[in-house]
Amino acid sequence: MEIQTKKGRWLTNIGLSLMAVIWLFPIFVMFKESLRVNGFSNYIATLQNPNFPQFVFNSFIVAFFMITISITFLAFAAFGFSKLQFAGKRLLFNLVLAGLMLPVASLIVPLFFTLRTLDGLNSYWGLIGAEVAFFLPFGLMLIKSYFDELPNELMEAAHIDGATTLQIFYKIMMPLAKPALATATIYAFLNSWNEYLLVLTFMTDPAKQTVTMAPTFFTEALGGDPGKLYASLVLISLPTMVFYIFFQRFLQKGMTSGAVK
Amino acid sequence: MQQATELKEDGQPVLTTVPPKQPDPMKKKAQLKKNLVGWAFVAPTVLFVIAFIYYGIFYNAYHSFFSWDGISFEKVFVGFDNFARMFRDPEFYSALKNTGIFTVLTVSVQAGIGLVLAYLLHTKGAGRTFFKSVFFFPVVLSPVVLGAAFSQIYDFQFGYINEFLRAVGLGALAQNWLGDQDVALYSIILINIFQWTGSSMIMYYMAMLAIEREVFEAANIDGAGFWRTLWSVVFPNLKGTTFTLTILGVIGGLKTFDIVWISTQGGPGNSTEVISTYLFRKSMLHQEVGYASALAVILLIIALSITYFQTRVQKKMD
Repeated sequence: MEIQTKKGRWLTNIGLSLMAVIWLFPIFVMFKESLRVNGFSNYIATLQNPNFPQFVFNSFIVAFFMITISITFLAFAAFGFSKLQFAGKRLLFNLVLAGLMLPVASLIVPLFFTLRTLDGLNSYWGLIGAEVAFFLPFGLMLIKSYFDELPNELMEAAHIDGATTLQIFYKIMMPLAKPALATATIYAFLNSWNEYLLVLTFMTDPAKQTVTMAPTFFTEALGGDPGKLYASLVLISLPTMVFYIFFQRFLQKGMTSGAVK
Repeated sequence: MQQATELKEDGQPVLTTVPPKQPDPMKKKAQLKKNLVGWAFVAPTVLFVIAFIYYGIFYNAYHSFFSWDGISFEKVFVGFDNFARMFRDPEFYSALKNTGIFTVLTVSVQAGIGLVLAYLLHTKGAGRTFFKSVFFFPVVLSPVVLGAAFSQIYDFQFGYINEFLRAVGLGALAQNWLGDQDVALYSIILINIFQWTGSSMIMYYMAMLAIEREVFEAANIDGAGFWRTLWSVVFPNLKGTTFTLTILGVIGGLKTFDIVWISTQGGPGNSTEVISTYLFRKSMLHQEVGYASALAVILLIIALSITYFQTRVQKKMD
């Protein structure tokens, strides 16, 4: 759309710039605080604290397995729900999708006590499993809506050529679905990296906690040294910032395809 | 589904002009195979969701009839006592009310700002992509990070807002943003709005791309001004998006935990307690597991009612 008057154009630009300044302010605050008193040595001190690499390591381990498991499951399921005909399809799909509505907090009691009986507290697999379960509904919606747009003729043609369903899935559909799988991977990473409530509930041992627990840990362990606390915040945001810079198009697309059923 | 041309499993097309009345054993077998293949593809996802989510729902429902501290082996059956207690529990109502305020304000303000930003981004001019990136950015940030950044901004003594107010001679307006019972909830809502406005903006932005150019041009010819066009031409065309955002926002409101817990842990007093934080407190800190299960059941019923309402409305809109 074009704005006709020069004054209008100016006002629009000023309005947008002003909003951008407000939007960047909290991030500016974070950087500024991270340099407080000791400057960059806050970062060095944070990185040298043996606990910090442990938090980062745990986060990467959890995110890696969370992504691998959920994307594998989802690729099969999205293809199945979108392109195959079988009894109970609608029911099963809605069963998974209903998970979207569930607040995580409403399931911490069963998860906590069940994991406790299975010795799954303070273990990677307990956290990974729960993260996967909460991501599957959203991921399914995202990838399935992409499969829905792929023409069925591709499949039918391959079928006539004698390909099995598994071959069609693997050789034809997977390469085509790459953008959707990439989008889901990015969302899975962000969900896992930023997960807070599940870590707070399951991981009482700092040696097993992920990066979202680092600030609490540093506040308690280094009491009264906000510089290092904010340095740790900047450091744990770096991977998400990098992801954002490279993949924001995917994220924006995913936002809309995920929302429109 | 009956199609004119069906494929047998060996890949040979077979013409079936009229669906046979008698169940053909060959076809039955083919159908069974189809089912098995389909189930195999979706099984990992479905079973995983059942194991974690549906098992949890039954676990909650069962334990909501017991009094249990989560530690001892003994669980005392109390019938509907937990639910009866809930309806007499002022803290529950307060959490419910706070969740309501949180949701209504988040949904409406976020949609409003998102709409205006999306509209402004649609104008021709420099740096539109950059602006879009900036507004969308907080979506990827961890609530831990935002909570900490805003605690600096909100701090009573040295916080940026109060320092600014004092500097311009409005020191009387300085607040203890996160420490005052009357203000804290709204301060947290603002953080939440800051984080999620970008997603509303993107959704409106994408939807606006789909509005025909002619619609704008017609409005222009009719002499409708810039804002007038937004209100009476663009906004009515985005009903579907507004509805989606409302539902997502309501569900998001019910789910809210992180930013509240990180900013205030539900305090001061219980002025920022929402349902999720109350549930967490009762189950993990107060060892009232039976009661927390009952809270979870109610939370679930609220979420499901909203979903039901959504599907009803969506059907009507289509």
